[in-house]
Amino acid sequence: MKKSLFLVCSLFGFGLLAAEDVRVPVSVDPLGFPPPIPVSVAGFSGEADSVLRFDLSFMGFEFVAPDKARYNIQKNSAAGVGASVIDPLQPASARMIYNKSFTGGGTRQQTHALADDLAKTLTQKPGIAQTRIACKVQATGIGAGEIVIADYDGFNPTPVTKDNVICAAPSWSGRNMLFYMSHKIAGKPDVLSHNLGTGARKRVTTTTGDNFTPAVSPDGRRVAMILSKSGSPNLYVCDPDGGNLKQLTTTHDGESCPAWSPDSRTICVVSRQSGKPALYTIPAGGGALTRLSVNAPSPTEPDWSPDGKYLVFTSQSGAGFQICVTPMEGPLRGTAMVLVAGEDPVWAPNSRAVMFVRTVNYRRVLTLLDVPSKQTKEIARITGSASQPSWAR
Amino acid sequence: MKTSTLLTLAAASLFAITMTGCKQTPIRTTVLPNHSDAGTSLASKSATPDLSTPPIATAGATDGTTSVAGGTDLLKGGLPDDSTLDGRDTDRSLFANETVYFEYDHSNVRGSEGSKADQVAGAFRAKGAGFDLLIEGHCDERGTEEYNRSLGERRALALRELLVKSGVDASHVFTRSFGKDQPAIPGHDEAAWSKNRRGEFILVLPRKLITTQNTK
Repeated sequence: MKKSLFLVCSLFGFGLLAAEDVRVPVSVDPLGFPPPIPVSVAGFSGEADSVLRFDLSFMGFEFVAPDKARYNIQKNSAAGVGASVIDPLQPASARMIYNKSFTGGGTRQQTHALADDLAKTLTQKPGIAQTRIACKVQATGIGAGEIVIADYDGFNPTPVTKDNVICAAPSWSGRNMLFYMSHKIAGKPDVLSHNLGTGARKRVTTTTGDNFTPAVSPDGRRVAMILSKSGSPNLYVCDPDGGNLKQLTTTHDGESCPAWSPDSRTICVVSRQSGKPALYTIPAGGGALTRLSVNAPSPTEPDWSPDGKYLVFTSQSGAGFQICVTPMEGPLRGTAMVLVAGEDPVWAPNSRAVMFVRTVNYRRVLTLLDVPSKQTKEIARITGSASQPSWAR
Repeated sequence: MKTSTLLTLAAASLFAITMTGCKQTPIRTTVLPNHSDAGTSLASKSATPDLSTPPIATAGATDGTTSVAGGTDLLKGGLPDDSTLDGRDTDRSLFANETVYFEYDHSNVRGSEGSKADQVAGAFRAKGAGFDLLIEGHCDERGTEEYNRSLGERRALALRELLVKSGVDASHVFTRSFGKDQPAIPGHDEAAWSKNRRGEFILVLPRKLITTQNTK
């Protein structure tokens, strides 16, 4: 059953090219992703053209000739960056279904705004072109690491910390607050919160032992993290100010890598309670660990898609890492499908794109992945060795 | 070549005809803000703001943990207050030869390595009052970052358990994980990895006595 599924999965993304009527694509993706929408893009040039194509390629679009396109996107004549969209399937009098432009800011910002608006209009999914990411950046991949934020495509990188200590595992709370681990205070790993608007930092954990890997719940009301205060690195949750700390697990071999379900009620976490790393779920309010069986070796770094349908994670075989995805609902729940080589996956707000880390000559590079097509593009704008991306959703 | 050119022209003509035949929809223009609010938008920045600020306030976290039943091992007894280490000097060389090495993805101490912990325990007990011991847990580059941070802490905690079993007062033994962030040996083969999967013992010296002079 699962072998045949792998075979089908290995073919998806190519089968679409054989479809006779590309204007009405039908999903053949076993994960249930809609196929990319074929569009033509005309009239743009330079930065606007390259940014628009980059953005749309990670929001469910592919580029074809005008006569093969489901929609024709044409630069309009307005100031700034704008486009009209023609739907050839509509009657002639109603074919122009969109005509907008964006001014102010710069060309890149205007184009991101247009791309997001087109995605929202044509796919009914949230755009990702105006979102931001946070990551850990090290000069050479070891030693001190700082937290950096950037646009989702790596532009406008901005340092959040300049502590010259190990800072790691950033996690967004909304779009204006970051939580991360830092060795800033007396060399001890603690969880800090950092308001990006005011620059104010607060120490969230004051408990003894190591405190690391914060993960803020999607509703922003709780923070999951790993604390070793009881003698093992176990899973805890607390309020964003550190109050109401609650221990959720008590295993001897410990937990790591917590990730929240989109409804903020369940945490997926890696535990070694069976003797080797495996994925488990646990109610955020407390309860038993439940094994999430996936047919992939040494799964770690889970991340739940915002729509709740999928889990991406890193699987390790030997010294190699692979990005895998499994449905979280339906009969295929737990069936792991290998996407690409890499680690540290995190979902985009549109539950379609994923950012992950690819190692190139021992340097870690943030990379974007369109899950259904497996198309990837590296984000080379962030200098140094970048890892642990977190996407502001 | 000619055929493809003709096809391209035909496609362009078809698109132009399609566009011409459309009823025009008025253009709606959205004016974007020129400057980014750090929290909400992505306007291009002429200068990179420095978001880092040195002071760190304590956010009211307390240790009033709600724990599930059976959570604390009496041997481990919870970890001592790390703040007592703040600002104290350390000696990393004294126990350098007693660094304990681990198997891949394991935190249990092999028998051949356990004797090193015994030696550290004996030497530390002989030090007397005022000294503390910090155990640093490290991993090789295989394994994901936060998984390895947990693994490094489990290695340090495993060594702490051995020391406590050997008679060292648990309130003087602290642990810290560096995951795979601080390898001892650069390299990407088993020769390097085997030296990076380790637990290091660091002696924390007594706090210096500060003498004050009467300037009268």
